[in-house]
Parts: sequence; structure tokens; C-alpha cells
Amino acid sequence: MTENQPEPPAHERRGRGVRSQLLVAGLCLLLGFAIVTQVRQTQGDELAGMRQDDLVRLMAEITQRNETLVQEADELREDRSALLSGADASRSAEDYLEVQQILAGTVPVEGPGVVVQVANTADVSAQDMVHMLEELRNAGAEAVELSTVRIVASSYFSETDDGLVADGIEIGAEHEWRIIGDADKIAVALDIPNGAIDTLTSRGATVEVTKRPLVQVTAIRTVEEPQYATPSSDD
Amino acid sequence: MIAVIGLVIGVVLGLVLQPSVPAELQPYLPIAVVAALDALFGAVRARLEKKFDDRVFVTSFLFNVLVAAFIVFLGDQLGVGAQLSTAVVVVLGIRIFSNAASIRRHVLKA
Repeated sequence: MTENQPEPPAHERRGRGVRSQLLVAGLCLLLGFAIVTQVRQTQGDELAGMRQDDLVRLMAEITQRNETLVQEADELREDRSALLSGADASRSAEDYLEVQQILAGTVPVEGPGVVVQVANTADVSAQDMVHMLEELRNAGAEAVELSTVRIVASSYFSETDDGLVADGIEIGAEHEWRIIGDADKIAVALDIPNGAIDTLTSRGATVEVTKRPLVQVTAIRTVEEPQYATPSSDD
Repeated sequence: MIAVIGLVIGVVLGLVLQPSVPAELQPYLPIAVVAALDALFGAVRARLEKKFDDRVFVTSFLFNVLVAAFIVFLGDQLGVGAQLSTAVVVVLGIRIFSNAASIRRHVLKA
């Protein structure tokens, strides 16, 4: 490269000075202009001043980073949906527990339903009681109490010398069904010709059906641990 | 003195006009600026040593700029543009530093 090495005495050249002085000034002007332009360029857009190689490398890096982030986002989304469905599972398990508790009769329940009062049951057979219960179940009764006995899946009726027995408890000549469910449906179901109530009245019993907006079933059961049955695993 | 005035006018012009660099010149401008700065420092040093010659300045200025740009261009063609640019900047930087050291010795006498 060139250097400003001394040439013959500078004084000699002074004479033709003005033009080259202007040239020097012009070059300096150009330099200042270029410096400012470049500085502005660099500040204005970081990418604009970069070389093609660098841009390619930068783009590769960004693409890679992007892929990593997309992957991460996918994983997080999966985690999220897993957690959400976990929460769903927990909630549905709670719902399921509630349903099971009602069906098994381990909790007192209340709701709209029907109260059926039956008297003079001297000639009513256990078969008629089962018939009655089946009708109730068909009509969608969700909880049933007979006098003080909560009627569940394992309930049974039998006849003894002292009268009707439900689940080993005497229910006497007069008893009361307390049923929670769709009152209209149940009342209609009980009332059909040759249905449950027809049968009871034909045995000489007197039956009174009352629909109520709130029926309380307070009798509860304790569930015993199954001795033989265990849940089978699905897979 | 007229050179300093030219420099100032150039800076002001750049600030006022706010030109954008054409895409083809973008790799060369920073290197050219560094090369021109080298020439400028050389000129200041020569002046302090009372050896300044405006013809030498003009030729060294233009030649520096052209050679630097050519090296960068060559580097781009060879696929080592970034490395050669760095090399040019390093060499010119060293020269600027040595010139600046001479200037300092003349100005500060130390």
C-alpha cells in the first residue's frame, strides 16, 4: 500500500496548490460522507450491513432455533392437554363417585319425587313388592326408601309370619315409599292398568300417591368390602 | 485546514442527505472507509513531520480505497470474504495505530 512518504521538498509544490488542495478537501469530504453513511447504515439496519455468508449462517441458526422452539411448543402443548385431560379425569372420577354413592345408598339424598303410602298390606306378597320396585326402577327412580330401609341393588323382600320384610327389616302393614326421580313419569308408571298400584289394590291394600317437589331420602347403607370380586385391569 | 473543513462538510452532507448505500457497494463501503481513514492518518502524520504532499495523499487515498475494495471483492469471489475483510481491517487498524502513535509523539512530544 502507498504511504505518505516524503517526496521532493513540499515548498516547491505549494504553487500549484489550490487545485490539489481542493482535491484533498474533496476526498476528505467524501470520507466524511462515507463514514456518516456507513454509520447510519449500520445503526439503521443491522442485517443490511452483513455479508451474504453471515446472513446465510444467521438464517440457518434462526431456522434451527425456530425448530427447537416449535418442538418445545409442541411438547408443552402435549403436556398441557395431558394435564387438562387429567383434570377432566379427576372431575369425572368425582362425578362417578357421586353417582356410585347414590346408587349404593351410602349418602342421604334429596330431590323432587313421589311419596307412595300403602296401608292394609296383609295380602300383599313379596312378589308384589318386587313388582312395585321394578316399576319404580323402570320409571327412572334414582333413590328409593321403603319406610326406613334404603332400597339398593342388593335389596330383597320376603314374607314372614309377622308380615313383609325388606332386607331383614319388618316393614309392617303400613309403609311408605319415598322415591326420588321424575315425579310425573313415576306416577304415570305406577298408575298404568295392571301395574304396580293396580296389583296392590287388587290385594286389598290402599295406596296413595303424592308428587312432591322435595323428597328426602335419609336412610343410608354401609357398603361392605367385596370378598371375592376384584376389579379386573383393562390392559 | 481546508481538509478539515471538507471532512466537516462531508459529515454534514451525510447527515442532511441521509443516503442509503446501494446493495452492491454494501460490503465495500466499511472497508473503503477504514482504508481512507488510514490514508488520512498517514497524511496527518506526514504533515506533522512536514513531509506532507497532497499528490501523495490523493493517490494513497484512492489507491488504499481501491485496493481494500478489491481485496474484499476477491475474497467474496473466493468464498473467504468475511475472513479477508477481517484481515484488511486488522492490517489497516495496525497502520492507523502506528500512525496515531507517530502523531501522538509529534503533538505531545512523548
